[in-house]
Amino acid sequence: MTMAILSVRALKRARTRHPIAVFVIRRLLALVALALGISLVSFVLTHLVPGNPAVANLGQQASNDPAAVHAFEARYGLDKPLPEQYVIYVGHLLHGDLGVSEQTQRPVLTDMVSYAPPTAELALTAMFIAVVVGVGLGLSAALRHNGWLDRTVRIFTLVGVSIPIFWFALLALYIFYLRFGILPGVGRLAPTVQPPPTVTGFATIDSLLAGQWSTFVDAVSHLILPAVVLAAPVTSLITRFARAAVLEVLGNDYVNAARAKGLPTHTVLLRHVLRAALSSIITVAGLALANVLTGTVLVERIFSWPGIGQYAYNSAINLDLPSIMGATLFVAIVYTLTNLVVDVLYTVIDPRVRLA
Amino acid sequence: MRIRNVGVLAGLLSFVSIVAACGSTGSSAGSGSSGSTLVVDSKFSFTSKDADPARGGVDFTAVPLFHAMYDTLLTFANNDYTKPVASLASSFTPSADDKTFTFKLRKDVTFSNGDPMTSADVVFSFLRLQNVKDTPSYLMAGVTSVTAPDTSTVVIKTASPDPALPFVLTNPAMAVTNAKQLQAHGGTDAQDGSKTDSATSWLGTASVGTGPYVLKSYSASAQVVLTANPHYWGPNKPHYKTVVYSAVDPDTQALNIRRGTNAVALDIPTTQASGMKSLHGLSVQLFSSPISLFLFMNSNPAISSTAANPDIQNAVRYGLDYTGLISLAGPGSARAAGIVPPGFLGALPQSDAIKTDLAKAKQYVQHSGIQNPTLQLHYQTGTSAIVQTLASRIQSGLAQVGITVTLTPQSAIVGLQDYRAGKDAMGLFNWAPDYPDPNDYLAFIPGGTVGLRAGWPASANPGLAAQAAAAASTTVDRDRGAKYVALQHELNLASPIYPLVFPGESIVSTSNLSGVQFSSVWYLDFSQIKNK
Amino acid sequence: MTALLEVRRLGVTARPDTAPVTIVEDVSFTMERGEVLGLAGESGSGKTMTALALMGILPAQSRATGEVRFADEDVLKLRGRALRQIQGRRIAMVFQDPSSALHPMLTIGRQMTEHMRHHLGIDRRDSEQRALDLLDQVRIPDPKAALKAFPHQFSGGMRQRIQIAIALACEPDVLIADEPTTALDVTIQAGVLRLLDGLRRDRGLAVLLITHDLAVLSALADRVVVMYAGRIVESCAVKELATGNRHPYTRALLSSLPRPDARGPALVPIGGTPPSPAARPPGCAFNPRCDFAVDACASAVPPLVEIGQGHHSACPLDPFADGGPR
Ligand SMILES: Nc1ncnc2c1ncn2[C@@H]1O[C@H](COP(=O)(O)OP(=O)(O)OP(=O)(O)O)[C@@H](O)[C@H]1O
Ligand SMILES: [Mg+2]
Repeated sequence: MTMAILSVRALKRARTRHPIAVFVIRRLLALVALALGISLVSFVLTHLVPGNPAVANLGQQASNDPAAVHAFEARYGLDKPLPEQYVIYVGHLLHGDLGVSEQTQRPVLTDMVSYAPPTAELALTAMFIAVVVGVGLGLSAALRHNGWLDRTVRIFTLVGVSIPIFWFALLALYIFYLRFGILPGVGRLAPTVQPPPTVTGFATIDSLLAGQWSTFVDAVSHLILPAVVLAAPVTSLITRFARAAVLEVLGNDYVNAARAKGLPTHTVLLRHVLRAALSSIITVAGLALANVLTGTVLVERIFSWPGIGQYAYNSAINLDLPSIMGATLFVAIVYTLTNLVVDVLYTVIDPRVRLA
Repeated sequence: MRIRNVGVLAGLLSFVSIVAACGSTGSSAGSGSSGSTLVVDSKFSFTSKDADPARGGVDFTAVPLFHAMYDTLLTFANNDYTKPVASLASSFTPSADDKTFTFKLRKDVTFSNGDPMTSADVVFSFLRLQNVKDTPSYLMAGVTSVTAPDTSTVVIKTASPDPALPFVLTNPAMAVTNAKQLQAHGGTDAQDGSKTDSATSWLGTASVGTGPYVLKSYSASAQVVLTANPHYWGPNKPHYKTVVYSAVDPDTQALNIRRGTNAVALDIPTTQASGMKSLHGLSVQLFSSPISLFLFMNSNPAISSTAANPDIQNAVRYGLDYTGLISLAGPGSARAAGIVPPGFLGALPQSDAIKTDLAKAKQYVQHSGIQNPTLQLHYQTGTSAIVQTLASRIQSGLAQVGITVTLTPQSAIVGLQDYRAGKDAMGLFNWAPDYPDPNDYLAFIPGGTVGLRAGWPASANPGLAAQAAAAASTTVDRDRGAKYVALQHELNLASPIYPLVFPGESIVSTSNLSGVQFSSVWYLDFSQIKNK
Repeated sequence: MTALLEVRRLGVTARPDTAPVTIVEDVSFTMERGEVLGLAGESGSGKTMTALALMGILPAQSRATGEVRFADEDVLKLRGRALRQIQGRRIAMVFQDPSSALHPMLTIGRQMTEHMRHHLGIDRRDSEQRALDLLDQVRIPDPKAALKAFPHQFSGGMRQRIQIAIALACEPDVLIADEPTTALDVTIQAGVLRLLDGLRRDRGLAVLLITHDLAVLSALADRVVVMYAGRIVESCAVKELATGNRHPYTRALLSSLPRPDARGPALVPIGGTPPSPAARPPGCAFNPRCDFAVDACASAVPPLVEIGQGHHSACPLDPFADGGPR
């Protein structure tokens, strides 16, 4: 009884003193429930697909052989009733066990650990490019509202979102790789380059940690094209949002007030204008990250990038249920965490936002 | 206003930072191959399941890797797929009834770790393949025992006469693996191997064969790196220190090969590849794949009474625009005169192919008495671009003889399932040979695997079934060939399955290489490739 | 004696390159040290634009012409550091809309001190101490807490006073106050006016007071400039405004504004609406709404002529000469 009261009090105290911490903890707890929900939905969806994993995995001969089909189903627990399969799956999930991939024969979690870093490296680089270029262009365009730069930017952003990423990738490869040879082609490292020992899974960081300067240069040069291709559509998105947000901010007297104070231009732009536009920019950045993650499926394929996108694609065409579920969960959790980060950032940036 | 200027500056800066990043990394272009490295681009998605000969092994894109890392008891020489020759076995003797096969092993063969290869390794490898009950296990289907009377002799017994067994033994899945090493990493040849064997994931990190190359690193969906096997027993030592088998989208392979040296690209579409013939420094090979594309009509009236009607079946047989289909399939494609691919024992010459005869086809339609016959054509999307094109051509071609075809494309997985369950009224599918022997094409006789998918049980044509059984059990190669030729003539006239095309494929390589040679069994033999 | 601030033929044109629209035209006035100049006019008459031009912070896509002489320089020609040395430091401004004039995401403390530290080169502690004093001067309760608070935690009136405190922080010579008292209740208003009055007396602060409020004007201003559609129509000493006005617009404006004594005739709204800058009527811009307009009014813009000691009017007619229809 007293314990309960104490803990309620503690909670209340915590809530008033560390509202953000409490908010984050609550949301993380909700995330667990959400993960379960997502696992159920993706489990039902993947198992309702009118395809048979045994048929997809065993060749034209073996899928006719009842012994081979039975062995396959027994190996992956597919011979049990669906609800039981789910209960078993969740049971394992709660212990951090995502099952064994049918195609790689490794624990799905191990696969995730090896496939996620390349995707993260690519996606984060793309996001960095998209945010820096997008905010820079959006800001410039808004400041020169209706000027030549603004009009050019508007055309480019329109083109940027409507070019198919596939076509753009080939065009970029054609120009920078085949035609001028400034940048290397596909892959994460040149075929002859020895990968650095894995620490973070980021080829760039790992090569630096290992002190392999030439490997680092190779890794960075391999990163540029896919990252730029992946960034292109979301750069347009961010540019347009940033432009609109800055335009809206510029209409406010507090920008005039800042200028009327005689503050240096960069202070006005960064501290006052961008600061006010930041919550819109963060919203669109969260959205952009989702787009980038979707884009990785195609970009990773074209650029032979060994990431989650390729993994998910290969899992899907092979109906590798544990891997599909694993990749789905992974992406869902990334989305949710992104949302959480965005929400927390809102409160950090804008004092008017109250944590709900 | 100053503010605006600085804004432009910010935008420019962000551009400059990217351009600078581009510039600073400069000229590290090209696949970076040197004289000691061979880079082969393939659209494969290699997984460790594929690295285990007993579980993967049949995926065509992974076959060159198996061939490089593992040897088999028998093999083919000089592109002659009608006669298996010695490899790890120095000789083999079938019994008179073709049910017992005795192999004498070479005594000078070592595994890549230096262990000598013995008969125990062969027995272990074959029994493991049989007992894991996975994708390629069917290759051991008729085998009743594999024994080792002494360290250099292996005896394989089959339940029924199996003249195709020597051909089966050339399949990369019949690789001889190092039993000791595999057992140390969870491999087992026990009966319950499907539950207890756990060596597969380890096989993604190391190879345990006798082939010219060994697995160095494997990164799924990126690349597989092989290095020369220092203990290679064969006469021709591997030419390259390193072979990189790189997973590259077909669209980018063409870019890679145009910048590369010591490079081979396996999946460039043939129209594009034939356009590359004029490019300096590249050599282009076009050839037909042994994977046959065929059309079938379901003879089961419960599925479709129209498709099952013999007159309609004949109308389709003579109404198809075979020439048009070949030209649509692109450079390198070959007409499927019979279902057995050219180069295999018993293959039909082109002249024996069924010829289009629209008048005859129209007569058949009339004779069938079916007004306005309509058929649903099923095929898989996403497998090959030409399938969609061919399906449309079939549709327009048959429209000329008064048969309406509606196209029903399906996703690969879903389509496969209905097809294998025999539920499609009309289908456009393919068959990849499991081993280069006409026995593999018994699938197309009434009651065979594909026959059943076309609703065509043995009882539907007992005469043909008997003829096929006779061909299957013939033991003398010359007679087998003749019997399969005769069988295919009959099939061409009576079967509801119509062989259409062996689609074109390409191999493009830099012209400093020699020995880049397509093989319908192992696709590409890395150990044959050399710098000129 | 030269004036502290002299505005000569100031004009403001929006989008001068693409679709030019004249928003302010031919505006001239002077301000002396310690003087309070009232600027009156209907909504849209260009008061704020005039003020922004004086501050050198016109919105993008608009351009100022003429001259704004201040401290031997033409503010309109200044750029960069030289301009910033005047902005906020020598000429400061209080903006019209208290709800948007403070940055919603920066603390009051930061907004009060950033320009002090920039201009006066004082450290954080000193600038905060000064901010506390200023907040106290403008009667913000609990100034210490206010420094850490954000604008949304204050009422409109408090925000307006905070703005005044911010504007006064660097002890400017000229304060442009755009409707500084509209959001305030009467007592606070009186306090603010007293504060401004004190500053002009003690420090010689010159105030450009933009307001609709006649009471405020008569309480504080020395002279009044009345604008209509971007032009000055009448300017005079404040004591002449009520009784000696000459321009029909000035009179209409006066009768449309609430009077503090609540005596006299009832409010008479001016008929019609002020023209938009893009569709300014030819001649006297007020003529379509003017009860006394004659044909000549629509043909040429009547010049601003001196009609008495320090009294200018842009109406050549003198409709109230005979006592007029008051
Ligand atoms: N950025 C701009 N571009 C073009 N026209 C503008 C711009 N800002 C204001 N205007 C126009 O300039 C005219 C004068 O506006 P201003 O804000 O100076 O009026 P005001 O006298 O301050 O009115 P209020 O009493 O409502 O504040 C208005 O007609 C307005 O529409
Ligand atoms: Mg205004």
